[in-house]
Amino acid sequence: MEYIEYLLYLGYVLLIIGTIGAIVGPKSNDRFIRLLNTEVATFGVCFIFLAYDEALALMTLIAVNAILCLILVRAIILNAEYEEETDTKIK
Amino acid sequence: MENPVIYFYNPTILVGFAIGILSLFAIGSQKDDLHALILTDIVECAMLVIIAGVDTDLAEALILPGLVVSLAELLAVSEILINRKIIKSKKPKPKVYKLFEEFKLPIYTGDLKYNVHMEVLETSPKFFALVLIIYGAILSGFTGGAVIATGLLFYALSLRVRGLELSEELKTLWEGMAGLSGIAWGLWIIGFLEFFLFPKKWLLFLLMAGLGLVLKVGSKLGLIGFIGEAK
Repeated sequence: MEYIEYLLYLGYVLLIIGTIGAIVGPKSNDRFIRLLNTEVATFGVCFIFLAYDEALALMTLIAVNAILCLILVRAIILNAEYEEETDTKIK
Repeated sequence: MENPVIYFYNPTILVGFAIGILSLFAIGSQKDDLHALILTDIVECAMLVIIAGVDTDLAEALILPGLVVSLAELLAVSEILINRKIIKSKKPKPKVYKLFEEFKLPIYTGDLKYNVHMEVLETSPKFFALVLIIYGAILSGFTGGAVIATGLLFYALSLRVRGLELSEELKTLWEGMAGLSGIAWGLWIIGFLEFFLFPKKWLLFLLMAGLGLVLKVGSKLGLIGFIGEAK
């Protein structure tokens, strides 16, 4: 087996572990933990891109993922803020 | 004889399908909207892996717009979810609504008691943005456009983090650049067509197509920074 094939299989493993972690992983009811698990899966995609020699797609994926993380963290923060307010109003 | 499933499908594509189906089931059984949104990220991963498994240059060219579209999609859906939460909480919308205002530094929100003046926060974003824009213009093509857009976005976000407004002149310039998008598209298409019609003048048409693409991608992605300023 060649060196690049190990990277490819590492990519598969990371992708599958990240997905299972995000779906049924421990404490996956917490949104942040679910988000971090999806990052593991994205890392697997990075390795697969590397193995298939898609440098441009790899660079764009890393850049887009950084912005995506900002957007999702922002959504989680604001959601939690407003959820708290509605809870206190009901009480 | 080999297993027909492995004969017909590359393992990468099989892994992609498995993950896509798993995460779609997970979305189906999910009640919370935001959890479903986060799981959509994994469906996107599966999509990218399936395309990457084709392993040609065309596949790479299909991945790039897929990434940008998924970014825009997730941004739009997250905005809708947040707005719905705001309406549900029966509280008037908090002041003027701005993108990425949550990431403001403590020096500028007034949480910090001391009056700290950091020169590096004022000068370095301009420098970085300028370097990225010049480098992107030299690169040209899709990569150049992405680099230019990164520079523009970086500048807009750095202003937001410091609690400042984009100046009026810059906004006008930005809007003008977005307006150039149509001309850039024409340049790209013409350059690409003439490339086949007059192969002898390939360099001119290659530069034309590259210039069109750089303006197009740069202005499109840079718009994210501009929209944040709109009221």
